[in-house]
Amino acid sequence: MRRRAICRESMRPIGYHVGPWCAVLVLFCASLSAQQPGIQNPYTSVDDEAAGARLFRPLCAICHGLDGNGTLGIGPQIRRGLPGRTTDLDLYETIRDGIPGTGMPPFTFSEKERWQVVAYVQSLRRTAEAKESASAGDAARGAKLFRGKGGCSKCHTVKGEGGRRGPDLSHIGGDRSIEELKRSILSPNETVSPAYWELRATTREGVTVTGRRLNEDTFSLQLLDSQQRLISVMKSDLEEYDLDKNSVMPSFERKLSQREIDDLVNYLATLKPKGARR
Amino acid sequence: MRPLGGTILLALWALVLTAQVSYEDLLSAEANPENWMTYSGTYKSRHYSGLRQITRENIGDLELKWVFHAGTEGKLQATPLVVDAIMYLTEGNNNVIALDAKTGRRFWTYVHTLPKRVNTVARTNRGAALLDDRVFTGTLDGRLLALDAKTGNVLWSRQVCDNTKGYTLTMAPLAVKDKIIVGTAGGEYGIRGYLDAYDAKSGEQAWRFYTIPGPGEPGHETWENDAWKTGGGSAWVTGSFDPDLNLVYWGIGNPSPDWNGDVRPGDNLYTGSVVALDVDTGKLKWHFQFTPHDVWDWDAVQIPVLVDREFRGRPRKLMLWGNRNAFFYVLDRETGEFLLGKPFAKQTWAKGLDENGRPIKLPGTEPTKEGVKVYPAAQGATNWYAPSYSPRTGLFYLSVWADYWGMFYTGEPIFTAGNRYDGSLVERIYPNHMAEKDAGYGAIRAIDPETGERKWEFKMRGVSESGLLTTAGDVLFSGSIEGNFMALDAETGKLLWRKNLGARTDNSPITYLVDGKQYVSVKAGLALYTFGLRE
Repeated sequence: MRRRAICRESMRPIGYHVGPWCAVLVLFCASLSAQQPGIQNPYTSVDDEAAGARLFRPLCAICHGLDGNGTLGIGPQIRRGLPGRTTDLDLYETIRDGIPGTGMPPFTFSEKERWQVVAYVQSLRRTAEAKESASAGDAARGAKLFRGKGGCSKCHTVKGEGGRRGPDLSHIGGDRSIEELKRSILSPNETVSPAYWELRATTREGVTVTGRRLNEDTFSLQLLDSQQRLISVMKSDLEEYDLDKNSVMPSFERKLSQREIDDLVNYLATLKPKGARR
Repeated sequence: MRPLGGTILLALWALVLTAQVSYEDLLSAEANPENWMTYSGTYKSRHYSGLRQITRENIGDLELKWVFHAGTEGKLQATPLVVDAIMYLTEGNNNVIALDAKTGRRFWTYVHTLPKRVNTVARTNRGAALLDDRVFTGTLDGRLLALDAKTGNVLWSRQVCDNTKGYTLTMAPLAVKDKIIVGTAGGEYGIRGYLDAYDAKSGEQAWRFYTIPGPGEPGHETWENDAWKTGGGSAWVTGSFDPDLNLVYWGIGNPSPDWNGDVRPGDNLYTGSVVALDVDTGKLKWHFQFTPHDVWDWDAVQIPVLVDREFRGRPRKLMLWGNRNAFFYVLDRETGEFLLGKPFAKQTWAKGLDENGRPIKLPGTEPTKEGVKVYPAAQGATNWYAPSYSPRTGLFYLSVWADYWGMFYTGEPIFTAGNRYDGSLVERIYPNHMAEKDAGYGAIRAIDPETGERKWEFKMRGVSESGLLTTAGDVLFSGSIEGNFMALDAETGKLLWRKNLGARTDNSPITYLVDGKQYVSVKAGLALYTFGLRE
């Protein structure tokens, strides 16, 4: 692994920070014990995390959100790692180089500052994961409930099977914490993704159209209607239209027992992309 | 064959003679609307063209003539230039392309090699300048280039600013007399901004105007401690020029750090201001500050629109300005005197303007730790995209983010050279029209400069980052963030024609004439679309 990291670095254009960075890497590599897998962050103390937070809050949170959850809708969530960028070194390099073609710029922090930001980002991940470990329940029983008594698969797809009315849940365990999953089941109206708001429109001929609003501009609306058809309507052809921002999913608070809800949540938490951390 | 050969030779000779842009051509651009020779069309920057083939009546015959796809990484945000049927377009990665303006076919490409790291919040370029037989463009790595207009070869290259410290060049330069004027972007990096003039032939520096006065200079007292050294004051959109007054006018960006003013007490001149500079020396003639001690990121980089018309009963040389801070201003451009100011969009930060045009700020509107809700939000009620003025209707037009609010928070201002120096967090830079009940809306509004009153409004669902173009055919062209390209009646705001181009429009449409036929070009996504009348 030491070799891999150094090779990566040596592929960078000659004359651009290669010299000093190689020297730093060699020092880090030399200082790591033989058992350690890959390059790890040498700055992980509480003080380092705090220093990282001081840089993260004004510079990174502007896009990724204060707790790295991506809810600002500008940068992605980073508290659960990004596909292909999960190690300390991956994060370090992303901060140093940015991601060309995206809004992620390179940051010219010192090496120490970059590692301190990495330490803080990893602490956000630990906090998110700590919340997850508090879950109880049996995933196998939850899977049965999902397809059977709960009736979830009528509206939700998991790995290609299920309905289209609600969100595809194939990766929901990677996107939501245990707490958030539980809240969605018990109080579905608390957070309803705008992609699942129900459109109700009446044409000038008096025909009623309902369905999920997929897109909208000044002149038209696109939707998946209640017959599961993709249709597009011109606003000029509509008498009126409205969006119902409540969830079409009922609360399961009284429909399932506490144990069943725990089972279901535990099953949902297992639904993650391949290779993602458990 | 001989006569034909002679004709071709003659035509080529004519091209050699005419495919140059002299300073005199730039001065008379208004009278020669077949070309679009500067960023804003003419030195007066009205984004208005005297072409009148495309009208309200025949707009239905508008059809697509050609599309050019940029191969760029980053945005395509440039306003193209056209002279004698040759179009010059810049890409976000600083490539420059010369095209046949009739067919969209490429003559040449200048390929710019950027360093792997570019410190910028906007990987973009807004266009070029033309003078004599040269094309001038600024680059993200801080160079001003002079290219041969016939080949794209580099004639000279000048390092204007240091990108490792967050400075970039993103604006289209302005060619005036024998000089090329360009300013530095980087207001989110704690720069100390400047405008530079270079000799067009040699590339030698003629003058520099620092947008933040140094010790001993007037205005320096509006900064405390050492804040002036990292005070921002970028210049990232092209200015205007009045040859009679020999003044260039330029809008100056936000102070740094953007959203935490505690480290920079004072008015922070000349951020959030327009400056009038002697074009020969770069000396300041006057300034007007729209937003003293800005803490909301309301750059005053809007294009100064120069208009000569009667105002309150007497002919005046005016400057019209729709500012990011939601106020519309009329200034006397000889003296900088404030003549009129009125909100053109919802704002909650000022009680109004005093008799000198200084805002009377309302308490409780500056960012706090807990967050403060203010209209307009950080992108402002309008921004850098071109407004327009039609001398036929006498109206000023601008793209508006209506009923647009944001949450402003203070944070820790930590300056490290080359890194962002926002000093804070803001939320809701872009409203989400798919998700929010009170997202506001995008609008094109027409304002009567005499009163500041709104004459009409065209409502869009989403906000727009498209500039505007008006023509002597009384048509107003604009795009939208939704991907629509639209033609409105410039008198009434009624929608006349539209096409879905499928991606956001964030440059400004232009119009030009080739072989006696009028064309309109607009960018959507990474492509440039050119329309003309059906034959």
